[in-house]
Amino acid sequence: MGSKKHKKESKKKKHRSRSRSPLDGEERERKRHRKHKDRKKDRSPDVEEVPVDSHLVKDNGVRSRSLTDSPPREPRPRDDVYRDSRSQESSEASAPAGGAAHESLSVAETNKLRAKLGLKPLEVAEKQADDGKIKDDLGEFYHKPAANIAQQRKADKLRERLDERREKRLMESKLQTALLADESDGEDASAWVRKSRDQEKQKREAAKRAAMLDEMDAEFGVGALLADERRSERAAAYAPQHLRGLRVAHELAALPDERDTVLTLADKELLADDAEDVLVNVNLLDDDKYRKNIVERKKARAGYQAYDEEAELQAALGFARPVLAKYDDEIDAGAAGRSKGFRIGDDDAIQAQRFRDMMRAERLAGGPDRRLESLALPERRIASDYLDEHEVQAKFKKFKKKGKIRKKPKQEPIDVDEHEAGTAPLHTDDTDVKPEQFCAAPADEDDAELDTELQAALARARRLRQAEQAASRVPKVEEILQVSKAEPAEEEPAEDSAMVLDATAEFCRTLGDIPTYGLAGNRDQRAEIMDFDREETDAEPEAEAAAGAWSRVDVHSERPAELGAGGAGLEAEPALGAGVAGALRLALSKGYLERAGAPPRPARAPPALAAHYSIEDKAHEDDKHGRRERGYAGPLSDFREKTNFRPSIKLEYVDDDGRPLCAKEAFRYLSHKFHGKGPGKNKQEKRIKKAQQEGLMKKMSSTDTPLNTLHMLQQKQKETHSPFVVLSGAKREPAN
Amino acid sequence: MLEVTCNDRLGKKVRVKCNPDDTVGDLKKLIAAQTGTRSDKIVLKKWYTVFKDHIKLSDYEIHDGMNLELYYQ
Repeated sequence: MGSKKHKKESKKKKHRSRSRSPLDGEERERKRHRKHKDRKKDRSPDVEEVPVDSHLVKDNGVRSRSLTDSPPREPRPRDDVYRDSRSQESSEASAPAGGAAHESLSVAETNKLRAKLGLKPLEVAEKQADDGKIKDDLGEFYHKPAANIAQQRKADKLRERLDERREKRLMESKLQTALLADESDGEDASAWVRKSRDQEKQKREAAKRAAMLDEMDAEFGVGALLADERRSERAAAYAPQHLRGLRVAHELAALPDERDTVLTLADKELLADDAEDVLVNVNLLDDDKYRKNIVERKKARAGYQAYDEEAELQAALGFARPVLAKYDDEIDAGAAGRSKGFRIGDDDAIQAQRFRDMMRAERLAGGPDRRLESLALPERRIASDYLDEHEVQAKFKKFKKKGKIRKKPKQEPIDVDEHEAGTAPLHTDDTDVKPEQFCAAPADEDDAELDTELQAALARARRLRQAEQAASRVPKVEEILQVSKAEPAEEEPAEDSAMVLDATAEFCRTLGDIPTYGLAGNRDQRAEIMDFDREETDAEPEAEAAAGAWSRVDVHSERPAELGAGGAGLEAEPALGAGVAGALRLALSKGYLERAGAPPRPARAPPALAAHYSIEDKAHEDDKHGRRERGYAGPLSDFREKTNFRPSIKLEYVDDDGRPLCAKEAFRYLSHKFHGKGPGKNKQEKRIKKAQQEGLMKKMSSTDTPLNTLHMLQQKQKETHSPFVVLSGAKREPAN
Repeated sequence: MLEVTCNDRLGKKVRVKCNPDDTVGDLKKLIAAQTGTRSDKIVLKKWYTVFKDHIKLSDYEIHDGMNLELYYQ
């Protein structure tokens, strides 16, 4: 409860300190003291109640002295002594200071005390009521007093009334008419009846007289003359020149030429100051209004137009550029009307106007240049995927070449009649394309070269085909033989001095002697088959005599010329024949089969291996590794338990990072490995963080706080050579 | 010039006249002169707010007629 009181007090104090109310200073104190009655409870009994402004009262010193004698002084002997000593020093004026500390000192006393202490004297506060202005908290600025709304309202009302009265006065002064009420002379009804009767009588008499005069006029025939005279008078009285200077509100162009237009005086405000009369035609007015309304409606529908073409055009032509034209009526109603129109009889102005119109029309037409650009863009077309004719021509322009150096002869059609038979340049190939043909055309065109290449390829293919066909025909063998014979025979006389070195021949020479050369009859299968048949019939009687005679082909047959072809040791692959014989021949040629007299191979060697290779080299092994019985996995000796075996089992499990694991973690690790699924990302991060924390834990110091507080404390103690350290942040004043 | 009341709730209540631009230290000296204690023994507080010696009264917004709590250290 006590704390709440404190709170209330402090809160209230705060508010009060910032208040800007005029009740400042002593009044506030007084009020506060009056309200806070519970403060009496807090006051200790020996504290005397002194009114706040007691120091302002003149008999302050007297009262205080009388009061201070009463309260007991025992609880504070020390202070008493001090005060007594001081009071001895001080003069009578400072008695309150020495006597009772509860009071305040006067300004003079305070100033003396301050001087003693070395402080500057008190600033006497000036009265705030200079202008009724209120200073703010810091005393720097004057606050503007708030506007009094009630006063403002009163002032407004007053102003309104004054305006009204003024206007009334004005209007009354203008309307100086004789009121009906004023005319009457205060007569009664009978007098009025008599007056009206007299008036009637006079009217009748006047009418009679007029009739008599008319009769007389008609007799004398003066009536028409008089009428004419009157007309002329009237005409003279009101001639067109009297109308000179009157303003007509319509444009000259707007008035129709053929007909007479009746102009009437335009309506005018009664109290309007400008007394000018304006003539208007009712119909034209209506038309204008109608047109204006239409335009307004259009403009209202359009709203704000940033780029008003009409307005721009008008500005270009010389009319005034309207700014926010749609508010013209509201802003300045008369301005538009005053500009247009003309004055009757004012020929100069009319001519000037005509001139201006002409100039405008000229400008509109474009002047001598006549080049008004329109902002209308070319109309858009849908894009097409295909090019136009024009676009095609524009895009693909064919330029003539400067000079065609080469011309393809193929382009020209061959005229058969021109050439002789047999010499026509047929671009078809025959079977034997002589190499001279290629050499004969060195300076061919590119196209022709290409063509000839193609033709050459075609010729080669044809040749091959024909060669195959030739090969299939049996009697062609002789032909080929003859050809082959002929060729070397041809060439040798041509080059008998030089030695022809052929790469193939050289290679074959270096190969050396092939033992099986000639044994395998792989010259010509047909020939061989024929040969074999012949030999078989011959060899049958010798079959028992020669062991592998069927595998041997007689070298010395009548086929030596076959070796003439290049003399190389390489032959073409013998083609497999139809039966076993061909297969045997092939095998023999390849060396799979051995002749009689070959050295016997060791039995263990697999037949596909090479002949010179002997497996015994590989199989030879002296070491113990070889002697072990490979494939034996059983026990070799009896199983006996070791008697003195005391293993110290230390199951140490280690992490991937090298950290040792406990049993639980090890099992977890094993499970992961077993199932093939590891922990998720969150779990991994958790583990990583845990590991980091452990690392930090290991690094932290066990003796001190993280900020080395203990160490600093010890240092400080060492410096000050005292067992304690003073914890205070206050700025220390130099001792008095 | 303002007048500040200092009360220690044990019987000592003084009213001290001072300038707004006086520091709290000066005020303490004045109080000490009036009460008889030593100025560096005085602690002026307002509900846990200790008024520091080097700061002016106007900065603490101590106005005329305010009550300060007087303690001793």
